Amino acid sequence: MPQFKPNIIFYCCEWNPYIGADNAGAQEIQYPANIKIIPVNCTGRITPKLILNAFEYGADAVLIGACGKGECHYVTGNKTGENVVNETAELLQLTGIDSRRLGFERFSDISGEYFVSVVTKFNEKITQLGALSLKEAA
Amino acid sequence: MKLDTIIEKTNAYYCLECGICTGSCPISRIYPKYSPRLFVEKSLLIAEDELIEDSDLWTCLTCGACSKRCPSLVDYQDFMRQTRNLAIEIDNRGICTHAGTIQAIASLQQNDFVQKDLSWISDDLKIKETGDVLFFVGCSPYFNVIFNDIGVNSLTATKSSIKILNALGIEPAVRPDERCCGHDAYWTGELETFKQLAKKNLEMIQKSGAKKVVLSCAEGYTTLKTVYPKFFGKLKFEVQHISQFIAEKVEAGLLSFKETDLKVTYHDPCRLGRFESEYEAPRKVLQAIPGLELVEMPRNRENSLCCGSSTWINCTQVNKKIQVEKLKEAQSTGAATMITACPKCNIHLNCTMHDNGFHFNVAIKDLATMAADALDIG
Repeated sequence: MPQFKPNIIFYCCEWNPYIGADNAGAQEIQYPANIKIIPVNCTGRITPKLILNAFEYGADAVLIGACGKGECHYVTGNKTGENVVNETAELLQLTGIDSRRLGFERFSDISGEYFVSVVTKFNEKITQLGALSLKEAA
Repeated sequence: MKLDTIIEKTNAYYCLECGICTGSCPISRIYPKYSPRLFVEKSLLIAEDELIEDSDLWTCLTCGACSKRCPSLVDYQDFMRQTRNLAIEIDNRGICTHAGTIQAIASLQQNDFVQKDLSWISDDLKIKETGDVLFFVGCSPYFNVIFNDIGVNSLTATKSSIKILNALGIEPAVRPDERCCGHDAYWTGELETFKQLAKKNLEMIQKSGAKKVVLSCAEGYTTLKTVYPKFFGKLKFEVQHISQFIAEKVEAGLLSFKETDLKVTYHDPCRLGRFESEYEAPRKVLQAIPGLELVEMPRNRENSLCCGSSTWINCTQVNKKIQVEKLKEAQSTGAATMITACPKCNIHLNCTMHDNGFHFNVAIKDLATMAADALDIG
């Protein structure tokens, strides 16, 4: 049986986290290919709908990458993003989706190694949780 | 369905162009470009395309104030609803409020889940998996999370309702496999979503073996009672709003309340009042509380002013102005509290209070919460 590869959507802030991804690419460090990066201007632009829709359309997990505390390019965007993630985690729990499938990570370090270590760790966690089934009978 | 059929089914052909609808419309009073009469006339006179491309299709609150007064009995809110079905085919949609979160939840609930979380049910509430009486929770656990920031605790009314049922010795069935009732999907033209949700809810009610379904939400009440039978035939169970349930028990002498000196006014939610013609049950409940003084707003019962927003679409300055008008009206009665029987009216009006820095001298409370707080136990 081939190893299970979770479908992970990574809403990634264009600033620190995405620079990290860029650096990983420049340094040619590999990270799991099942993580699909969607760059966003700032995590403050993430809405619960974007996260809920990702799950509805087949994601096994959603990861949000924000800049470190006090490092937001738009002053408070990462704080807004964190609030939205916390709210959405509660909503997910209510709908019967394990809130551990929604991750929030801060990137103060913009090195390629740090980026790869974060996504690899998240990927391992979700691989252990297994596939999300929206079709299972209640 | 073609526009011709919609016109025929909603009596739009009989429009006399009298304009009572536009004169009654809370939107038109503030935003004159929107006119129910003009919409009906347009449907009769111009090409269908032009009508369904109009973004003002989504401005209507579907509050039913116009239909109640129409001398030709044009079912205007249903006319709007069905025209919306055509509009979404060409991707003319309403602007979702709250970033579309509530629509996304309803859409997600079309799937089958392992388990919906019921951890919000505290230890003092007794519930069962199956039973004769089912309590339909609705969206309140979600609203409780989403509207926490404006200080609305939507679960209070839900918990109060269960508390009242418990006080009567009833352990209601509350099901983890319950879904959104589909009210918003139905009124915004998303019929496929609505049918999926309704089908799953009917299966859930059948599994619970309930003969009576009680709701604390006016929108859920009219959806289950009137809309479900339109699609799925006669219901095998009775549907009751919590106000009707309490009124029945009060009349039978099974419930008694503590003395209070509150002065309150009652806001008729459009779904319970104009849609289901239930004006008296909530008032009976309030009058059963000894010492409570009920004062009416100038516009009450079928003339009640809408809470200003519906189905989580198109909330603009116009809607906010209607809500301010409503709050001012409530304040003018001198009542300390405005009671409502719909969790959404509660949210919308509280949102306006929040925006205006709480300078209105009136609090908003749900009917079930009011009754549960006044309950005389033992």
